[in-house]
Amino acid sequence: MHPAVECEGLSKTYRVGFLGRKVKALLPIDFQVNPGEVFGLIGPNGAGKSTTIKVLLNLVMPTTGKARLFGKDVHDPRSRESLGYVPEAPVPYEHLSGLEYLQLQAGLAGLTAADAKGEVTRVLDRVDMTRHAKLRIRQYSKGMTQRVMLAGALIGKPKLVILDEPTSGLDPLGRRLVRDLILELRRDGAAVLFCTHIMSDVEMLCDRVALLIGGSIHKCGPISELVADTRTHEVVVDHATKEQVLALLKPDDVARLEVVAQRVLFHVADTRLQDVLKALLNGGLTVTRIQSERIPLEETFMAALRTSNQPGGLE
Amino acid sequence: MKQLGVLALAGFREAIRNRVTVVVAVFALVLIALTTVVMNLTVFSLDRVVTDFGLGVMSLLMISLAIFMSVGMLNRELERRTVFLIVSRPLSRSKFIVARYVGIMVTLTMLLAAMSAVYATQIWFFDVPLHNSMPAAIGGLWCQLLLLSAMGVFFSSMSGPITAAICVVGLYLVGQWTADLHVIAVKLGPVTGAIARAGYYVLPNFARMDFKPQAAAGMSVTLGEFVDGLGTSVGWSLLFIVGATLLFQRRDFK
Ligand SMILES: Nc1ncnc2c1ncn2[C@@H]1O[C@H](COP(=O)(O)OP(=O)(O)O)[C@@H](O)[C@H]1O
Ligand SMILES: [Mg+2]
Repeated sequence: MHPAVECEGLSKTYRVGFLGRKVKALLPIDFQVNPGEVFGLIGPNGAGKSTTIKVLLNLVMPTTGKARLFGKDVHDPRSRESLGYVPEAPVPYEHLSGLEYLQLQAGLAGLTAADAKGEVTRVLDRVDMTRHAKLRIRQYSKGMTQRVMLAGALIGKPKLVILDEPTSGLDPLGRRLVRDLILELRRDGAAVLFCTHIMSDVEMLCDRVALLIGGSIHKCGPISELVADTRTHEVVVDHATKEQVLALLKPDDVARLEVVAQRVLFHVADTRLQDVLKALLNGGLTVTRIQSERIPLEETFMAALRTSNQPGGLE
Repeated sequence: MKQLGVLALAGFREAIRNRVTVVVAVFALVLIALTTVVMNLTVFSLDRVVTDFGLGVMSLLMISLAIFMSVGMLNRELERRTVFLIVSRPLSRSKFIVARYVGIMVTLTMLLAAMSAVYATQIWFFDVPLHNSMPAAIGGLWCQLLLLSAMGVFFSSMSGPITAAICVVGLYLVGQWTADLHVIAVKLGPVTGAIARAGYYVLPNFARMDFKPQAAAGMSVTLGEFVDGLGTSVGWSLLFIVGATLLFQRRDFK
């Protein structure tokens, strides 16, 4: 089976202004999204997330590299046969009603008239917009518009859904709906690719993420892996002095050492924990507590940002 | 085909609900109705005023509307990013352009039909003798709209709305007077004459689709003349639309 999304050496240089000044939005990047996977593209504003998505939808022509959806080159309209997409801050045809907009989407998706009717009813109900279906979109609030756009992306039960900043600017209820929809899509075996700078969504939803900074992928992998790099453990040794502990361990292994009432507390990196414990126990000390501390994704994100000297926008 | 249909329908719905279109249409109907009043006041030949003024107003308004709708359409879609929601479906960009073009023509045809109905009522009301050049003039106007919209779509697929409008209006004016320009240029000298001859054959000749003079003078329009106008329009329109789809193919939507 083909991956839902494949990018190989994809880069994009925009030309702006009269003189065609070059703006490198995307350095060559590679990644894949597999069927049934929720993939998060994360990064600060201007990292190139939307550009990546636009290349995948053939809205923007890549400068180098190839992109494929379900094994078909993105220049081929058939690559979009089973796709749902919601752009960043979408502005739909405001003179159409929500219902008419969805009928249009169903028609474009190639559904027959009978199927279209059922699908439109289903998705309207799913986003809880049946009541407002006949209202013109220009009369909708931002949240209502986003709901109808999401409904449009669900038409025809797509195998791949691409969402650009789906939760930004939504109220808690709207965010909740987006999260539920993403999880529902995954349960039904669809792949979801979404980009965001809101870390809590990522941790809650994604199977894998790619951290995009300044147009290149800084890190890519399962969330647990991204976080494991930076996992540390707090170790507590009872009835011991600082000197006793340090005598048994290499100085590099010990961080943030404190002594509190005959107890020594310090931090150890995930990779060194087993060796450190062996040394302590063999040396006759009593380890009374080990507490794993997961550095949240947000920290990883900020750390990556600092090392790349990029201004970051984070919510 | 189905995709073309739903897109054209949505485009038509958008257009008729757009205030600008509605205002122009109402304005046109009011103006045409006003001719009725004007005619009651004139002592001159009534027939001539009805045909001349009615057809003149109709063509001026419809032509402005065709240019307005076609040059603004692609840019409006790109600017407001509505195009993202369409071309992210399994649909080629060429189809998108053609559907938009069809949508514009459906809207213009309906408006032209409404205006023609008012015009026909007037003719009937004032007992103006009917003449085959009257429907021919309206048909000719439709041919001009077909070509103007295609030109508008073409120019707006590569530039902003104002540049596109200037190009279309420029070509339209030159196209109105290619024959006259030709005559003048030939008189001026051999070089300008050659340029003008090239222009005469290379630029779309709108005069071939304009049967208003015949209608005003009460002259008939032969089938040959009409087919010539229709052919010119269809041929050029095809060329412009194919050009537009090629230009649009690799354009970045930002
Ligand atoms: N149409 C465009 N023309 C020129 N530069 C652009 C255009 N769109 C985006 N960029 C630039 O490309 C970079 C990436 O933008 P974008 O993909 O929108 O980032 P993100 O979605 O991650 O916020 C930014 O530096 C932005 O200024
Ligand atoms: Mg973005």
